[in-house]
Amino acid sequence: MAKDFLNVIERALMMGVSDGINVLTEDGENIHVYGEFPEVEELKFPAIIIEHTGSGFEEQFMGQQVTLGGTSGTGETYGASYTIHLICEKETTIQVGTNNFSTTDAYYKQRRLLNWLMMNTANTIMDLNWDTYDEDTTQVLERHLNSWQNIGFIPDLQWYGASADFLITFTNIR
Amino acid sequence: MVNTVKLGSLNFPKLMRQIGQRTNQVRDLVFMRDAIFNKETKTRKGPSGGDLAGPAVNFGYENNLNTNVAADTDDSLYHVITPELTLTGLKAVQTPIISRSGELERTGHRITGSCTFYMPSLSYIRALPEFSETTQFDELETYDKLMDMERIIQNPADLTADGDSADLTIDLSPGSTYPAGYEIDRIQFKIKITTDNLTSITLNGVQGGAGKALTWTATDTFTPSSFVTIDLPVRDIESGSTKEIQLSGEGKTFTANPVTLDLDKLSGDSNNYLSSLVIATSDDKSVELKDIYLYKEAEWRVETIKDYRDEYMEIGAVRVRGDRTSRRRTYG
Repeated sequence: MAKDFLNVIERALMMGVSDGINVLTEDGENIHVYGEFPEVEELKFPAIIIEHTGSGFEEQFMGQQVTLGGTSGTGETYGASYTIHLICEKETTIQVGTNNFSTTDAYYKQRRLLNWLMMNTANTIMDLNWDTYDEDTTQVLERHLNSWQNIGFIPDLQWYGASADFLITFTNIR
Repeated sequence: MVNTVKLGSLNFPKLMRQIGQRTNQVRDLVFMRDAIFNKETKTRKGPSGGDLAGPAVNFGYENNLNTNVAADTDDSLYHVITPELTLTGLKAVQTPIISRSGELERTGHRITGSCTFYMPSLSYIRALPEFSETTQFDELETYDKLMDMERIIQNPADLTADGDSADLTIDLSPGSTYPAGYEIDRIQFKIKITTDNLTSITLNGVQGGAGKALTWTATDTFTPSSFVTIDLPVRDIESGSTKEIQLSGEGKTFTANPVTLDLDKLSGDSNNYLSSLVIATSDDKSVELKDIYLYKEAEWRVETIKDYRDEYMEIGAVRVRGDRTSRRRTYG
């Protein structure tokens, strides 16, 4: 069966982000992770949207011989890029975990919530252990999370949001 | 019709009846909506299998299931079975009837078009027989489809007969005629059977000199004791594919098997023509068939909806799947 790395990694990334950031909230159930911009009926806030923006060969090796999980075959380093979007509504409130540098007021809203989401999403992505979430053997070689951009408020929608580009490389084998 | 439905100062249904007597602008449409499948989700980690913190991760894409899921369970989200809807009996004033604009695009030549449907208020539509009985229908939505008969290719005479197969075989090539099939997209007819079940609908043809057939078998057998409208596609059908039609609020599934007939290849000569339509029932009781149409469809996708409450609705629709019949005939 052909390897399905792009799906395995995308799913692991979504599961890892959801698992990692929800444990930082008081009741552990509030932050919703989506694999694409969700349909209106499904959208709940705060939302983390992992948008797959590109993928392709990163580097080929001489002879293209690679080993993965005890299997040898033809392969190369493959890259995939994502844009991580954070969105919360003006009235979205999250009670952050008490061990998470909270002050006496642990209910975060608006820009304070967005800042918390940016910091902790970044931490979660950089700490993500792929082996915990992968549904098939993968070897992620590098990960690069760029800075959060377009941080702001959209008055028409009453949304706070930010986006960051994320790039990973992994071993592709066939 | 529920008598509490307000007809508005225009009385649009009456207006449609009057226009319909003088013109063909009032169209008898088939309402269609695609099935909504379960979403692919996960609530447990990969190989270790522990619970994921937070709500179920919704990957966004559908899987191929359409099942009831009561609440969050392992790797699934709430879902209620939502089959495809095919509802007949929706009338609307359409202007224009045919709208075509051809454009050469990356994928080839594509025909598009747009039109406006004027139809009675939503409360009136919700009270129509099939619409009121189908619990999955609440309102018209964008991306819903309205299927119109762009051209009626064959309109066999109405038929009242007992239910043996010889009497329910409609000759589509009387005398030495060889009707073509490539223009036909769908078949529609009204049927009433005294006590038996409708079991199958078969379209027969001669293709390359050999007899071929397309049979829609009623997987859910039913007795249409009063007239019901059956509307099924007959072009580009793969064996084993299914279609669901809502009759009196219940989805009735039809399965295509066997499918050896390719209508696009019936160019209308003595070796390639449409020969007969056979309606099969479970026994030999009296059957009435009327308004039998083999037609070229016009698939309109709802794009804008303006609801003027009790008066009428204005539906902007676009045609996105038009093609050129000449190419159909040529390339088969």
